[in-house]
This record gives sequence, structure tokens and C-alpha cells, in this order.
Amino acid sequence: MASYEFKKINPSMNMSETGGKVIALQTDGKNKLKTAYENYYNAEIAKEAPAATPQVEQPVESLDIPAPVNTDVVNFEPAPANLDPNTPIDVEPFKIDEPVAPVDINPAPAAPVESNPIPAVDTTPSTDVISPVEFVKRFDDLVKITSFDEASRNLMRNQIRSSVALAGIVSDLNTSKLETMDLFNQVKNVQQTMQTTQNVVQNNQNEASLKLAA
Amino acid sequence: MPDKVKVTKSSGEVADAEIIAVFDIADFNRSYVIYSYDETDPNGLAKLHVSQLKEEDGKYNFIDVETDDEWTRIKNVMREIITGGNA
Repeated sequence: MASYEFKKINPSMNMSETGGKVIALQTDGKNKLKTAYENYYNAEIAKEAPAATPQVEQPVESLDIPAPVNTDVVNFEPAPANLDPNTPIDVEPFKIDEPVAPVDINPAPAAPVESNPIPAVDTTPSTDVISPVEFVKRFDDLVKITSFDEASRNLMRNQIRSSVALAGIVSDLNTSKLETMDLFNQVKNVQQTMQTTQNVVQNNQNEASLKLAA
Repeated sequence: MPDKVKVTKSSGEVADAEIIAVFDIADFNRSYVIYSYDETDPNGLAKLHVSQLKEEDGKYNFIDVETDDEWTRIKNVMREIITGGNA
């Protein structure tokens, strides 16, 4: 257990000596006494000193810049090693006493311009008249690439087919190709086609109703 | 750590002194100061002065150690410090 406690004094205060004792110590002992007290004293001074503001080191962000890709490397051709700046360069002087050839200012006759004839357009009426079946096929192809839904596509297809069928009947009548029975059959076919079209329309309406209900 | 302090002796002489140590002994409720005028005795030993430390009227008074018991305790403290004891 410590029997003493160091004490700090104010060295600037006046000090008066009126009594005391004297003791002789080896220098080593004196130094040890002094060193022990110095350590205490300096520690106390450090405690009383205002705490220095800690310097917070700001983190430094590193910015990663990706290396450019496909960068062309420019190779500068090095100067020739044997280039001597003191070597004179041979420059051929202008020959000012050389006669100048006269300039012919007469314009040359213009060369005849070739005409580029435009080929005549064949205005002969084409005999490539498509048949009703081909017409329906082409129409089908056209309808396929449109944005109609399948039901609308079928409806339009059937209407066209009906119209073509009627047109065919009228044409045959005009050319007297149809007998009475044939005419009856053709009309019956057209009726069937029209019925089919109506069925398709009805189906489309039913489907639309179901979609709305859903 | 103060290197040198001015001490006015009873004769009126002001001398430079070196503070060696200052400590309290709680049992006596007193403070003590060890100081040196940088003197040596005939045997070449360092002469140290030991006084009771009293603070009065804004100044320190180095006064006599009153009892033998105090003096013995002071010498024991000095031995303790020199031999590596701690406060």
C-alpha cells in the first residue's frame, strides 16, 4: 500500500525556507527521486492540457475509370536516326528564265452528246386477269398480315367470298353459261355462304360478350 | 517539471533550488518537499533538503519537520521511491 502521494506545486509562487532537515544521498538516488517525480508531474500537466481536437481523416474515394477499349494505338514513326540537323537539304531552285508555253484559249469543240432514250412503256392491256379463286387467295394473304383478330378475319373472308360468288353468277348469266338448275345451285351455294357469314358474325358477338362478362 | 525555483532563505538570501519531489503523507495530513541547492557533502554525496510544505497567503513556506516519526516516515518514502515503489 502506498504510503505517500506525489503532489504538484505551482513553481511561480514565492517560496520561503524557515526550517527543514538535510540528508545526503548518492547522486543515483537523487536522480531516481527526481525522475519519479518528473514522470508524475509531466503526466499531470498532460492531463490538464486541453485535449487536442482529433483530426478525423476523411476517407478518400477512389474513382475507378474503366480503361477504354478498342483504343487505337497511334504509332508515331520515329525520326530517322541518321538525321543530321547540320546536313543541308538540296532544294532545286526555280528556273525563272524558262520559256512559258502559250496557252490556247480557243474552246475545244464540244463532243456530241449521246441521247439516252427512255424505253417505251408497254401500254398493251394485260391479259393476266386473276380468277376469283386467286383473288380470294390474295385477299386472304393480305388479311393475314393485318392486325385483325381471327374472327374479324374470317368474317371479312366470307363476305369477300360471297361477293365473288355473286359476281361469278352474274358473269355467267351475262354469258348465258348457266342453265336454270345451275343457277339454282349457285344461288343455293351463295345462300350457304351468307349463312356461314352470319354464323361467324354471331359467334364473334358471343365471344365478345363472353370477354366482356369475364 | 520546474527546473529551478527561487527560495528565500531565513537569512534573506534568495537561492536557486531544484525541486526533487513533493508528496503528501496522508497519515500526517501534511505535505513535504525535497529540494536541492546543488550541493555536495565532503563525501561527494548530494545534499538534499527536506521540509514540511505549507501553503499560506499565496506562497509556499518550507518549514521544519516536526517529529522524529515524521522524519522516519519521510526517509521511508524516499527509499520507497528510489527502490521503485509507486504512489
